[in-house]
Amino acid sequence: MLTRRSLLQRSALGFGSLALGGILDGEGLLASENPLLSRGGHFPGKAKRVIHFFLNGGPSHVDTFDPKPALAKYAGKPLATTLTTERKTGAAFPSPFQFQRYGQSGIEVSELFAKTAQHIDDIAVIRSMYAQVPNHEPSLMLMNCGDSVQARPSFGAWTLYGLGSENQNLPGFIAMCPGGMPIKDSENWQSAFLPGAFQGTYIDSKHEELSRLIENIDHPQITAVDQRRQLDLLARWNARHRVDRIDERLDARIHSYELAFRMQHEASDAFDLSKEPAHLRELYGDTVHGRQTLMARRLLERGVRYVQLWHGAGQPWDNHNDIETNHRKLAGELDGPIAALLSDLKQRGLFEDTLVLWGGEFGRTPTVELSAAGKPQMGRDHNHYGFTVWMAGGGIKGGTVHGSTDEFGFKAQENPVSVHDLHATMLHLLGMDHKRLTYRYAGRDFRLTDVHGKVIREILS
Amino acid sequence: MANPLKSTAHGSPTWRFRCLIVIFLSGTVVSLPAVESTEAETFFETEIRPVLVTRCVACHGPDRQEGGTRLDSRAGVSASTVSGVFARTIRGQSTAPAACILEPRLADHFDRWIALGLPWPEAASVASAADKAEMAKRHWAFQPLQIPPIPGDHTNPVDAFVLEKLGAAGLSPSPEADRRTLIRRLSYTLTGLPPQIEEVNRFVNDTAPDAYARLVDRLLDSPHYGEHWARHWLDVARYSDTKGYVYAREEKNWPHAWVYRDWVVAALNEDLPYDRFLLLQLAADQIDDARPGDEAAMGLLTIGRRFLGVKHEIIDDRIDVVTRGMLGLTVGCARCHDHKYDPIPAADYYSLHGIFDSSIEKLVPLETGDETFRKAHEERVRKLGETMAKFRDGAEGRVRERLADYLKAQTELEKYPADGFDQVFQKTDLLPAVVHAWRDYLREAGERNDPVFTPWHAYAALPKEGFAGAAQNIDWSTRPAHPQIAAAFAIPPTSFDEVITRYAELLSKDDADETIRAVVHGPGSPCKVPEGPLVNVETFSDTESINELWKLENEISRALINAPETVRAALILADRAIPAQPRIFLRGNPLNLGEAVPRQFLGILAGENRKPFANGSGRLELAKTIVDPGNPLTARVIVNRVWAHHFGKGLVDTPSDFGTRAEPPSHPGLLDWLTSKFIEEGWSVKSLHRRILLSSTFRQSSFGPEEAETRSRAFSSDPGNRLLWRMTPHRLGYEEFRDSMMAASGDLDRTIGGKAVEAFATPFAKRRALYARVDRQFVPGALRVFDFANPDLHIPQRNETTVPQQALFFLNHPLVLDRARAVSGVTDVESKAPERVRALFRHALQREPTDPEITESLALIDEIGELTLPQNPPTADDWKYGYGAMDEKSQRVTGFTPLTFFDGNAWQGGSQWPDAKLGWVQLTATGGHPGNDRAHAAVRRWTAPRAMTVTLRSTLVHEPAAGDGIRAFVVSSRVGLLSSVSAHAKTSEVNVDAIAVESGETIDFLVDIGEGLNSDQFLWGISLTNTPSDRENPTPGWNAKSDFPVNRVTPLSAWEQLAQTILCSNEFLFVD
Repeated sequence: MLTRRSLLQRSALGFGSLALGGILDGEGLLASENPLLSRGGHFPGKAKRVIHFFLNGGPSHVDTFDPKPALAKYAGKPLATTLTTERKTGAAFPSPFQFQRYGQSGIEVSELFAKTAQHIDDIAVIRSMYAQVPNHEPSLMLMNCGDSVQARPSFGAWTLYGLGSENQNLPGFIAMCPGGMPIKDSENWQSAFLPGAFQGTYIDSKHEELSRLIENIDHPQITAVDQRRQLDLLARWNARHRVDRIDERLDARIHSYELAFRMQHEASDAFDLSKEPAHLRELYGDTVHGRQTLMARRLLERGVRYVQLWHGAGQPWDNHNDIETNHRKLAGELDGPIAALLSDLKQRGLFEDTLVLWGGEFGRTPTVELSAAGKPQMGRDHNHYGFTVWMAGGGIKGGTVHGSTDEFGFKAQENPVSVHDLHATMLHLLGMDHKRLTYRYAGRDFRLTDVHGKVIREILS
Repeated sequence: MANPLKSTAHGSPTWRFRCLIVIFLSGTVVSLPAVESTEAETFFETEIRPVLVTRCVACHGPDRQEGGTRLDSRAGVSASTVSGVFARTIRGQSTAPAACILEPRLADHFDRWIALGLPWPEAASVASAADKAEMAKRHWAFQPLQIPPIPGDHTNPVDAFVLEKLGAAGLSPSPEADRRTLIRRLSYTLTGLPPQIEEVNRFVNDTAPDAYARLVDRLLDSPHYGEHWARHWLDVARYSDTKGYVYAREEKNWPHAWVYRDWVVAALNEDLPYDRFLLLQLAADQIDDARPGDEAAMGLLTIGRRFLGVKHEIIDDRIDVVTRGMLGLTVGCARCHDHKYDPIPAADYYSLHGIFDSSIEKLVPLETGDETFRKAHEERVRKLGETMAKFRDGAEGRVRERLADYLKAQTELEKYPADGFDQVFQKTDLLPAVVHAWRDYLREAGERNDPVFTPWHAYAALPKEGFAGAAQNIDWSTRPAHPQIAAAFAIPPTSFDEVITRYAELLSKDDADETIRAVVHGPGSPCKVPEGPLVNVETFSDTESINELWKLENEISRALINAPETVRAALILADRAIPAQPRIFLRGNPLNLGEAVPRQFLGILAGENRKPFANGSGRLELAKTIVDPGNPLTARVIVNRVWAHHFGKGLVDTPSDFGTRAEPPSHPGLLDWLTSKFIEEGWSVKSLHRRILLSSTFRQSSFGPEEAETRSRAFSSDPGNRLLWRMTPHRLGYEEFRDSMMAASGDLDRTIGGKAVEAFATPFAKRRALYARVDRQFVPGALRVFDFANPDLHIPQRNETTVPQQALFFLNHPLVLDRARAVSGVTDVESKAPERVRALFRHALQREPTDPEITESLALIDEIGELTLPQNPPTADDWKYGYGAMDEKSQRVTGFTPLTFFDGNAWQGGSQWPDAKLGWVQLTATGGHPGNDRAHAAVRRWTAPRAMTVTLRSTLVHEPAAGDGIRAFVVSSRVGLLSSVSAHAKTSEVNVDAIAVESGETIDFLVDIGEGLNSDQFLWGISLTNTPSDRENPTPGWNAKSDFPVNRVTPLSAWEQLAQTILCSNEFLFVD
């Protein structure tokens, strides 16, 4: 029987004529081979995997990685701006947090991320991001899927489509969010028109029991020994059924049972934090975010391609009110685990080929938000005109600041970076050309970056 | 699957030879002509050519040569680059119009391209409109049907066409499949259900020559036919019961989706002619002889995503579903620019846009149930109408009060973002939607030289510097102004602000001339909130008023959603009183208006005699042109869809794209012959099925020709079975295998139609999967991994992937385990073991097992042996796990109801947590989670087995800082509240000494939410001990953790495991 491999080997001689007849069965190929098998990119990538800290709700850049002393100078005074955001804002609102220079690079970071800042010489801070509208829903879609409105595949789905996953016993793209889902729910990790196998697998990382972490990973009604017996009989029947039949999908499904059986074991191992030494568990912290981040490291280490860590259900970072208390609390939950992860990755030699991304769907206004009655709320409104993300690890030039916002931090000014540029850069680091990673749907060859995107060379190592 | 990254030749060192660019896609393979790809050419193709096509060729191409320049060939471009004019022009350094200036990024690309020496692949020329028209003239799909003579003398024309191609390729067909295979194949392809074993036996033993034909007829008459084929259409229709993401103010469920779904089922079952089927879905509101209830058909247009109410996205979605769904044309590609490959200019896209922009949603009750409901519904509608009228008056009044501000806004339009930008507005704010309404109104007034606004436009054209001087010198003779306006400007203004002030004053005057008053009071005035339902007018008022209106609208929807099935409503489109006049949006941007276009059909299909639609929105005219028998696409597209569902692949491989990039059909003669018969026979889909299914082609074995060499030759030359030398086996889709698992145990509920059910709530719904609620926001993981059609997108063909998550589903999902038990339950436990095995095979696979299969099955039964149930401590029986409420008045727990689902770790509402009905309520060994409201508190109930005195020691932990914490109560059924505590991010000791209890008395440990549901999970370690005085019963006491069932789940018995193994088999999932 011909296998796909032998067919393609034959094609080295006659591929053209085969394809000309339009007879290569794309659907059959898709079905007959595990679409998640690992494969190389367009060129060797510096990063093999991605971990994305998604600070959903929109972290304030002027309170974290983009210091704006001018705000103190103009404190309480209205700023001359015509930029409109979702709600009314008033006068300049200086950051209540202290900034300090860190590392050789001397990049300024606020006290909120003091522990992360210890790694600043490995981090490239992009201070000139911009999105399209100041609303969560479209901005989440833009950041995750490259389009504010239409249903498009997420970055993780595109990555799996391009590179497959290195571990067939675990989902290749995992989105963890403790306590429920972010706004727009599973659309954030959708596969849209790409096959369902490329969508993200959601995990409620609030839980600690495996069966609550991964769907269908086990069931208590049967012992592993019995299940193996079932599978042995199944394999025998399926093999007999396969004889004389011409269909590689049958082989693929036979194979998938064995993969699934192994996945049950591998997954329980991957999520079992008790296998980590005590000092590491302590380093990450025995909190939801500490555990979630440590779990993520165990997954990355096992070859999971893309792990997205959300802060929590809804939009925790959306601090329209009292940003001082709220941002302090949220950053307090994240700073330790992020710093621990960076140290841990370095220790294990994983840092060089792991891309770490930190950011939200947009930033926040440098001006104070006003209530309907015009009273300052001591918080900040959404700001898509200018905000910060940072990256570290695989292929990133550490200790770099790229771009800037205006004097007050309202709008990206120098070297503005669009979300498409960010995506193009991330794909590049993974070894993919964002213009060549395409999928034909509805008569068009779609790209993550649509007709946009430019790799930000300045932050590449 | 092919490596998507290697889809193009460049970049891969192994592809040294000149070869085809092959792009693998799910379900499609596309080959492009050979191109020697070099970096430079790629650069041209990706960066330069699209810009030439979209930005230059319209004025500098075959049709027009502005300034004597042509930019549609290398020679033409070369001529203008040599002189340097080109480079200066695109950077705005020449006298050429602004339209010639490119964004700096694009201009940089051109500079680089010029520096590279204008690389331009030989064969490639920029497809101009004329080229595309020429191409279209030749493209097969745009040709009228060519009814070919039936080749050879074969009696069945379908076979004749297929054999002709096979013969030409030197291949032979396969023999007919066996009878059991045929009945399984037919049952699944027509009804999506397996045949029952008795049906199989009857058919296998029916030797009458017409047995097969009768079977086809019987299955076509089955009401399950309509259900199965409705699902195919619902994929096309991007069906969902919900709107997708909406802001919290709007109800997220559609009230009418299931009514549309049932209409489709009924239409297919009665074999409603396909042209009529489409006509009703597009314009049931305008068809004189529509039957009562036919309005439901228009759900096709109105069940799409809500897109947060952004009008242009909703319209785009409707254009897409209509054009790809009915015509197989990707018209959506022409939203931002002319279609790159097909002769569909952006102007045509906006012609259709105008039709849908002229149509507004309207909720129409079809059946209102009993009198009480009808009255209440009418009252809700009346209330909304009344409030809406008041709202309009208020909103319009506020615009009239601020005319000067709105006119001033026209001079700083950049401050006002496009529709869809959701700002929170107060009543005092200027509204961008109104600013844009004025912009459009003024622009149109200018275009028709409205004398009321001639001075406005004349002054607006003057520069700011020297305004006063220039204003003196305007020659009014060529552009007369309305006398009252002219009078107001008798003294020329000194600044444009003055123009604004004078206009605002004039327009506000009550005694102004009627034509002037009409600007602010007449129909079509930009002060008016546009016609239409709330979703169309949201942006025309402050946020608070809109929220109020949504409440009323939601009441109407929710009452319909919660009403019994005797209440049915349709959401239709109805024409606006004044149709919208479409304009092209340049680059798809509604803030960037291009020229006006009429509402009319696509030029490529309407031909040279195309006329603008004249009646209302033009939607009925559109529908009629779509179903016109002369339209070369509509009938071909559906014939191909039907064929694709029977054979796994269409004659045309891209069922929703028949454009110029679509491969020609594998059997063009067959497609056209079937299509012409289809039209001839009154667009009867059932007749089409008969023609296809009665052919020998459909009846072929999937094993291929018997002779090994012939088979191997066929496989090596046509592995994809494009020429149909055998039947391609069919893998059951999600709905089919779920229904089959229900049918295997005889449990399938065969009721037709009705409201949606929850697919994964326990106990599992036994209705067909078609009736499962589709929530586009929460498509369950199980559906996604089985490639269920994404309800946000029109899906012409589902993907078919094989991934381990699917196997995990079959091995571990509660639904499959539930089915394994049920299927095993059909066997007679009293019968002998081999007979039980036979029964399992008959029910699940519709055949007898072979002897080895019996032996192997019995070996499994033997190995697994008897169930060993886990042992729980005797004290475990004294606890119950449920939900209820704390009645603070009586200090008692009310409404205690045990939770029925135990997943091995926790008691909860169902297998999914949170449960659709009971929400978050849950109890584990060490704690739990209260339900979503105080009526669903988590209640751990201890029942005293005898009278005694006990002491309670317990520690309650609520960790999260988020939210506002929980409330905990210890309540005796006899004496009431024993203790209570509120906990938020803290640990509390809850202890009670010496509680005297009577036998049967309960002590409840109840936890409910604080003020709101947020981060309410808790830990509660509880122990109850006999006080020492209780010498008679020196038990160690009770402990919530150690008494928690280690495993309340009954393990699968050996027979149930065997049943599961059969359900997991490839034979169960694949149809030969």
